Amino acid sequence: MSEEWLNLYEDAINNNEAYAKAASWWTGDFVFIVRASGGLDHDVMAFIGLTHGKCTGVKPISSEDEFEVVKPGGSPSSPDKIVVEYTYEANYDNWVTIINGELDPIRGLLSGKAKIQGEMAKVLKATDAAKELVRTASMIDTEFY
Amino acid sequence: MDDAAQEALFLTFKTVIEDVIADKRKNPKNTKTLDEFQARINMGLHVEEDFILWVNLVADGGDYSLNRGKLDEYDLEIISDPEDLMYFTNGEYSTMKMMTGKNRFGKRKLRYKSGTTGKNMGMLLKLPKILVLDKK
Repeated sequence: MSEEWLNLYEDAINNNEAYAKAASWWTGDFVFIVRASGGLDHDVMAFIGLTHGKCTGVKPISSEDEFEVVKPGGSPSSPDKIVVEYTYEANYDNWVTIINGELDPIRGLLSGKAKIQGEMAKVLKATDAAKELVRTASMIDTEFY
Repeated sequence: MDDAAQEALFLTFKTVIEDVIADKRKNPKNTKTLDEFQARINMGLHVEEDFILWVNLVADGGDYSLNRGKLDEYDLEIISDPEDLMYFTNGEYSTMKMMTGKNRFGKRKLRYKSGTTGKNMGMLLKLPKILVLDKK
């Protein structure tokens, strides 16, 4: 997830009317975590801001110390940290299958191929939005490692 | 399914159940139902053609706990693909669809059997009130 890819992703989300509709009620920023595997020899992380059907910003993250998962209304341990409500984590090979549409992001969680940190009940109410986020990523011309 | 994937599935499913109950408790209308529901349910998570991960849900006095394995004495046994259970929980799949539709393995999405304590069909019919999320 290079900065260029993230910017393309932000634009693609903001031009996806199906996502805007499915996530019109959603508030909750994410950090996507790609663990090293296969052709990727280091972890990659990125902040994805998501509010009311729009992407409010993207940012590459270089260390897990840079962000903190905090429940709505909570406070981070340090004001310098990026606060998110969720992380979605999988190894690189599984991310490729998700982005290529071969693995449903929800099934990924239930097969042990992906992990989520944050309140699950809210995510379960947003499965259509999650699928649109993945479909949006699949529309970007991506060069894999 | 290897041990690590089984543990990841169990922990994810446990989080789902805990968060669903917590979400339902935000609505005071659900308090009585959640507090009065008493059940010991063996739940088979059908994740591979020939593999079912067994967990058990115990509801007692408003407390809900999910643990690995099967209970020897139980009120109800259900088997479902956890993905279908998630779509049941978020309201995308109706109870009828769960009972009559087929899953990716060609089995009914929700299979159920009586428990050691009796038929307990009333308990089965109450499950949606416990496990299905309120609308957003």
